[in-house]
Amino acid sequence: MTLSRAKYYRPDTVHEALSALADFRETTAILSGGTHVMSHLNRDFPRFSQLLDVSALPDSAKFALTSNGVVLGTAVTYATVLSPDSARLPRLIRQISAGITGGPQIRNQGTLGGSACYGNPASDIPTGLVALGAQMICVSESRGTRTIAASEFFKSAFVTALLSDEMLISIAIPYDSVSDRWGYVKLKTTESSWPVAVAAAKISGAEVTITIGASTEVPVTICPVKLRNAGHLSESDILLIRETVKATSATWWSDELCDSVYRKRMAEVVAVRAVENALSKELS
Amino acid sequence: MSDSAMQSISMHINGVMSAVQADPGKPLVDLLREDMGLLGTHVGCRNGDCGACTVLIDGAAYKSCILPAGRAANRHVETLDGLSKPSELHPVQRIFWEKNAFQCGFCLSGHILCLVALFRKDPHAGRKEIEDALAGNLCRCTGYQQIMAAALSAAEAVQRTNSEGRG
Repeated sequence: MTLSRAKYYRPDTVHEALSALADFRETTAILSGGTHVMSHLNRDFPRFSQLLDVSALPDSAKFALTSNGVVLGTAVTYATVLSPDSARLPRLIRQISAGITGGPQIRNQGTLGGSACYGNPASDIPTGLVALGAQMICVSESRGTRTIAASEFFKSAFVTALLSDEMLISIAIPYDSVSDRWGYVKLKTTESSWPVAVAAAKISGAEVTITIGASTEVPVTICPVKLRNAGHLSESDILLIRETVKATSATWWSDELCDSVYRKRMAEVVAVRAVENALSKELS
Repeated sequence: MSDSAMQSISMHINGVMSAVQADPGKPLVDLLREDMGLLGTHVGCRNGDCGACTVLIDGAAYKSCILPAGRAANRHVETLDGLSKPSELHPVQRIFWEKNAFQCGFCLSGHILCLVALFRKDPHAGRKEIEDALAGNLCRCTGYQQIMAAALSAAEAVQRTNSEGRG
C-alpha cells in the first residue's frame, strides 16, 4: 500500500511542466526514471504534493549527436546508453552505465539526468559527468535556459544548483578524444549496495586526470599527475597519485556505510585502480 | 498530458487488454495486486533493491515497486501469473521446479522473469550474461547456487530448442 497522496502529473510539453513546477516548487518531486523518488514515496518521506513525471516530454528519453558532442535528454536511461546504436556515446558513460547497481531492471528505468539531480554523493553519475566536462542545461519559466558546468552543478550532498522552479532538460557531453584512455573503478562493500569510493581517470599521453567521488560530498577533480612513462604505472607514480588524492581539499563524505576516514583512504586506492583500468584499455 | 488522482489506466496485462480506475502515481505493483488481483508480483523492499516485484514491460524487466503505474499505460505488461499455461509451466519455471531452485519462492518472480527476458533477447546467453541479468534480484534464502544451476540448465534447454527448431 502506498502512503503518499501526491498528485501525479505527466505533461507532454516543457511549458506545461514548468508551469506545474512554478505552482508547487519545493513540494514537487520531479520523476525522471523515478527510482529514487518512488522509493521516497513508498516511505512517505519526505512528503510531496506533486509528482512531476518528465519522461513524456519531447526528446527527453533520446540522445542527439552534434558536431561537438552528445546531448542526452533528461530521461535517457542507462539501457539507452548501452543500446547498440549508442556506440558513439562517450566510453566512460557507457562503462559506468554497464556497472550500475540493481541489475537490468534499474538500467531499464534509471536515468542519468535523474541520478544527477538526486545528487547522492555515492552515485556513479555525478563523478562521470564532472570527469567528462559535461554541461547541464536547465530551464525555468521565469529565467529561461541556463547552462551550468557539471563541476558547478553539484553543491553538496543531495544538493544541486537547480533552483526550486527549475528543472534539468538535457546534458551536453563533449566527444572523447581518440587519443585519450578512460578508466573507472568503484568500491562497494556489498554487491547491491552504494559505492563508498569511485574514481574516473583520463590518460592523455603521460598526463593523468582523476576525478573522485562517493568518498567526497561532491565529485572533485584532482590536479593532473604526470606518469614517469606513458603507458606504464610505476611504484613512484602510485605513490604520487595517492599523495595527491590525500592532499586534495574536499569535504569527505560519511554515512551509515562507512565514515569519512575510511572513504578517504579508499579514495587513494580507487584512484590508482582507475588509472590502471584506463591503462588496460586499447586506444580506439 | 495526464493529471489527476484517479484515472482510467489501460494496459495489456498478460496478453489481455485491461482497464482499471487507479491513481497513476501509485507504484505499479500496488495496481497489479490491489486493483487487478495479480498476486504473482511480490512486494519486498519497496526500494528497488530486491527484485521480487519484477514485471516485464514491452519485454524489458522493471521493478514495479518503484515504477508509477501511469508509465505502464497502453503498454504490454507481463507478470509471473501469465507466464505458464493452465496445464503447463513455462520452460524456465519447469527447470526451476525440477532443480529445486527455490526455497520460500518469494524471489521467484524476479529471477524467472529476468531470465525469460534475457533468453528472448539473447538465446545464446551464457554464464556471464545470466549473472548480469540476475544481478538485480536478492534471494533471502541465499539459494544462489541452485538458482544459477537452474538458469544454466534453462539456457541449455533454450539453445537445444532453437537448434532443434532449425534442424
